[in-house]
Amino acid sequence: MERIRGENATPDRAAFDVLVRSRIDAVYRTSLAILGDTADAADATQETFVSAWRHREALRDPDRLDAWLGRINLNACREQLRRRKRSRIREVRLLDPDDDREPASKDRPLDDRTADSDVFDRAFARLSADDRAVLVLHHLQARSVAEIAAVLGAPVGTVKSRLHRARTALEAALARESR
Amino acid sequence: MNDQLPPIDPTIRDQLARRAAGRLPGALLGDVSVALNGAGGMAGRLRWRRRAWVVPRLAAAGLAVVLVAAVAIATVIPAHSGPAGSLTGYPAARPLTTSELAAIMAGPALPANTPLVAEVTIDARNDVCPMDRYPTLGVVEGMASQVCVMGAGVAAALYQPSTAGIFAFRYLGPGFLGLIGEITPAPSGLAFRAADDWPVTGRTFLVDATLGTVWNTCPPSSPEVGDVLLPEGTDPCSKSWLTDDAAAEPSAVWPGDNPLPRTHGEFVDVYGARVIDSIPSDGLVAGVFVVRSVVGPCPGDLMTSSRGCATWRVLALLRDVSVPLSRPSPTPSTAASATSAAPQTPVVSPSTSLPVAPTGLIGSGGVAFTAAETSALIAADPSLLVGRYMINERVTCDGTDCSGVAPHAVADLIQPSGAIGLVGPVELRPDGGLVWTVPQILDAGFTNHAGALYILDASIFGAAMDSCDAPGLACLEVSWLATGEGVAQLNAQSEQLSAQLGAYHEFGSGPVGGGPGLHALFLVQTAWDAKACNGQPLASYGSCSARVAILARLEPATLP
Repeated sequence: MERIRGENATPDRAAFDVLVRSRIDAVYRTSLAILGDTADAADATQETFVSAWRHREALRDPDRLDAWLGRINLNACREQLRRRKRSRIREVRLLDPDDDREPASKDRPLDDRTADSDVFDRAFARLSADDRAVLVLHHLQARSVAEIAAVLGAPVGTVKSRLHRARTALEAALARESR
Repeated sequence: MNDQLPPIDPTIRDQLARRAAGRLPGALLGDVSVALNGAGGMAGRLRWRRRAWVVPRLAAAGLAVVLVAAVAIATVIPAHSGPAGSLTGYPAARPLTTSELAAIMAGPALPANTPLVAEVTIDARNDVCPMDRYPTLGVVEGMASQVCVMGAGVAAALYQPSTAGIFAFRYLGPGFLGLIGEITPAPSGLAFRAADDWPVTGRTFLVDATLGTVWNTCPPSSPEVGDVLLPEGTDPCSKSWLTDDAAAEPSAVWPGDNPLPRTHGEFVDVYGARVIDSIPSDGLVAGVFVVRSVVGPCPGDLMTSSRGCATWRVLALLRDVSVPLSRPSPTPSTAASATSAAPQTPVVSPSTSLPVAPTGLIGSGGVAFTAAETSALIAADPSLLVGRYMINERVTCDGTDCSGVAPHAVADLIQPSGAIGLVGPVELRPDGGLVWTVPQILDAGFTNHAGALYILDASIFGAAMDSCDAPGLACLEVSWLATGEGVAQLNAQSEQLSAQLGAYHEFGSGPVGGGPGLHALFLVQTAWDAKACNGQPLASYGSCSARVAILARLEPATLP
């Protein structure tokens, strides 16, 4: 596996480009999972690397590169969500009179409700950036407690409670969207 | 690993994986690079250095070393993340250069029909590379070894002794490119956006956009695919368009026949390219498309005008490519050789340049290699493994003590530099087994995310869709995988997996359609994550088939 290590030397843009190439796919997919929009995810990805380049001196420990980059990426996603709140017109789906599917119910099992992609996406959109992030880091990327804490910038001891809070928020959102 | 955390919820995981799926926007890497150029920023004192596991290090590590991948990296970098040789800006912002194309053509064989866009000079010649399927148009200047350009259709011809420009090709095999067309660049950059004014009158050009498709209810049909260099396009059951709006709502388009508003994009015919390039049938597909303006019958108009109607036809979907780093580039003098110069190597016949099927190695009995076995194989003969896939055990943990952590199977690809490149984790059967049959994958596999890797125990079959008379070269043939008896015929009702066009030529044996099929273990990757297409169960043929890409035929390795 490849890793990036910092050394005391002249900044090397070519080496940073290597970092970009090796991480851009992962950063983009994390952004996409959090934001759910390809254009926003692309913007967040670009902002992540630009910010990382501008603040590269802040990386004291090269072994923590992925956590550092993940934290920058989460900040970029937060910013995208803030911009979206300011600028985006919410799309409202009209009821289709020909749609005779059984309406979703909050009494259905969670697995059943989360299997509906549209419901899941609407519910996920109700969560905060941090709630989305902790769910992505744990359920999608299977990160360790320490890594999740590093990305969130939170104490290790609070990760479990944050995950519980996010899961509870997701279930509440799913119940609301399933009505 | 996550002892303190609740277990991962597979339903949430699958939903998040669905949200994160899809192709990296083709222009994103270039956009980031441009943004970095203008970013400036603090004066840093860090030097970024890439560190890779290379053969000598692995060999020296000895048998005691367990291949431990930090979980942060192993889980964050998904399968097929950009290799070290990926090209910044290609294909949306710039074409391949002559030297980049030379390195690619001198490197390991690409998958058949891979589209490439390059700025090169083609010397008109028709006395080399004789074959019945395509006429020879010429040879590409500046290649390390002879690269012939083949054409299709009566219009495929070069009218000057030497033609320089930007061309779209398909990779037909080692030393052979098929010409799709000469690319008309956009006024700003190489690729057009959907909302731009596209060239007309037969021009071929690139569009960096999102392809959307909606499906109409109609009887299943199998429209004409056409030739790989001249794909047909019309599918009566679907309507597709290219747009700049990455979140375009499909329901906003169907069933109206009026063109989309100019700012939204253009309708396109895409059926042939969809089959040839395995473009997903559902959802939005972002990428750089090769498009041509063609004239055909006006849809729905019985009194067709003699002038016909212009339509936009998608000819190919470009993929990112990587340039082999270990191959020497041609010298400047080579690249600037006189247009009348003969090819640098003697003329070769197609039969002497048969593509070597990508093969992979797996442990005896269909199990993954242990770390010790991997080290021993690499130490014994590193050159033997370069360019090959290996199925290896990998221990993933994020601490210093990895004892007690069970290894899982991964597919690795040994790089030209000798480094081990992780392709991705290999899916396990519900009972923990490594090798799947086709029915097992159809039952369970396609519920997994697109790009999932499987070891498949199956036979490969092929059927020619047109004349396929050049041994060793990809042609328009359908290929499929099946397990068991009575599956030698393409049958939509059978449990079969469609493979990429030309796969039988690469991985099979004997003439197409002429035998019981080649039985082997295959490393395959699912093409997309749909379990059904257009509301219909997946079939074995057509645009709604269950598709995989065969990456390698696996062979058991003899340990030194």
